[in-house]
Amino acid sequence: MSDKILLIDDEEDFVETLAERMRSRDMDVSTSTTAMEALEKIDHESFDAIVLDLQMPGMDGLEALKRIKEKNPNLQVILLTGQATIEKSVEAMKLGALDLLEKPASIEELTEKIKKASTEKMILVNKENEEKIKKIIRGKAW
Amino acid sequence: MRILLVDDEQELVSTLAERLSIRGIEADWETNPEVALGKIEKNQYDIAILDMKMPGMSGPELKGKMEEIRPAMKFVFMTGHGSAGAFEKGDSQADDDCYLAKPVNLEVLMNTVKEILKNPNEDSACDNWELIGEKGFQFFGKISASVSHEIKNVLAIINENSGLLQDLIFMSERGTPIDPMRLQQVSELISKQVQRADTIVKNMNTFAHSTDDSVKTLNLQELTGTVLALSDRFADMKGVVLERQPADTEVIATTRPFLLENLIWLCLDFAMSMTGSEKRVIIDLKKKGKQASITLSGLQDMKATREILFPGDAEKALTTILQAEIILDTSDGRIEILLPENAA
Repeated sequence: MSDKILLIDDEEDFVETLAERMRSRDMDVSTSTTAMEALEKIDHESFDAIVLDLQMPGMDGLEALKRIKEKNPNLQVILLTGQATIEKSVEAMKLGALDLLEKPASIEELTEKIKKASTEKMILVNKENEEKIKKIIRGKAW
Repeated sequence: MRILLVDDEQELVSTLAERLSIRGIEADWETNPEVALGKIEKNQYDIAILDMKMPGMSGPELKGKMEEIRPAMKFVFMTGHGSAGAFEKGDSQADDDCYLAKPVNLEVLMNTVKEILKNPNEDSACDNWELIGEKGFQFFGKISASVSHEIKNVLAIINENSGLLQDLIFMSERGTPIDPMRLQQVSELISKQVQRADTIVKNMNTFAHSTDDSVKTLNLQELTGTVLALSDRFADMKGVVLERQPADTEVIATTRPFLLENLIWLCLDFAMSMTGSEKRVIIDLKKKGKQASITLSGLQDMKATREILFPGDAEKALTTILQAEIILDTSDGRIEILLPENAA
């Protein structure tokens, strides 16, 4: 099964070209050029990894990251940034970002991070299922 | 300016007074502290320069007595012992006194005297420059960071397209024919981004050169255009549109280009926070008699804001130096920068 990815960046030419290249690498890619649109997509679909631009009009990347994590803490977010300052990186990691990549990034590096993200998500989802099963086992009087 | 020098060493004190007189400062001298006290009762002096150690009365003691007669007088102490002890003793008397080590360097003495008698207005002019310097660096830094960020975005797009070309080559090597139309699209996209970067770099270059001359005669349309172009990204981030009214006449002014850019930027920054639901700032440049007027309108939130903390210290410092004025029209949601045509 191919990884399902959501790319969020206000630079349409960037997001579309990157999406095309990722699709040719057998990834299932959706794109959004605003954080609001992306948040709506997250409500209806599940993704293995989200690639998010840190600086966007309207809602910036950190705010978007916070909201994504509120909606679903299991979602794995990789941040893309033009200029990675230490402060921003630390803040992003504190908010639960999996990784931070500086633009222009190589697709190999991004793919590697996406693979890591989808494994991470799988572990988290498995753990969650385990918890659920345990709960069910404990809750039932056999 | 009138100065009284008191030192028990006559040769030293008389020569010093003479040298000050040559430099246009009216200076009297005295070797006896008691006689010096009589002198200041009769005459008005701005500053007394006193030796720390004199027979009969110490410098600080003499200062105390002189202050009783002339409370507004300022004091400078001369000390033969550059020792910390003498300085500390002087310090405990008053913090704002100056101490000069003997032999006294006349230039240092002249500077000290000038510093003491400096007009308090000059002091605030210094503060203004300090603030302007700091704000100027922040402004330059903000713009440079924003421009470099945007160039990075351009590079990221070019980088993806270069990668896409490699992907297409890779696929063609494995038998998938390359669609010429697809190549055409990539090429167009790359030229579009090169154009975009070129405009950004041109604006940055114009901006950087605005620091070349502190005062210059220039076209205000061009200067405002540069600031607006550089502010566009910030406006974009805030979801605000900067709308420029077409100018009917050319507006030329002799002013400080970088400081004016900074002032317009600060006004724009404030304006962008006041646009309300319209999210639009309308910028209009006009000639108004012997003045240039830059208005920023559409600031809906100004009507509802109780206490508008604008213009702040930085804007005030800039308007003072530019001889400009900022007029707020809260009911109309408008701010206006009025600038003299010639502020040289």
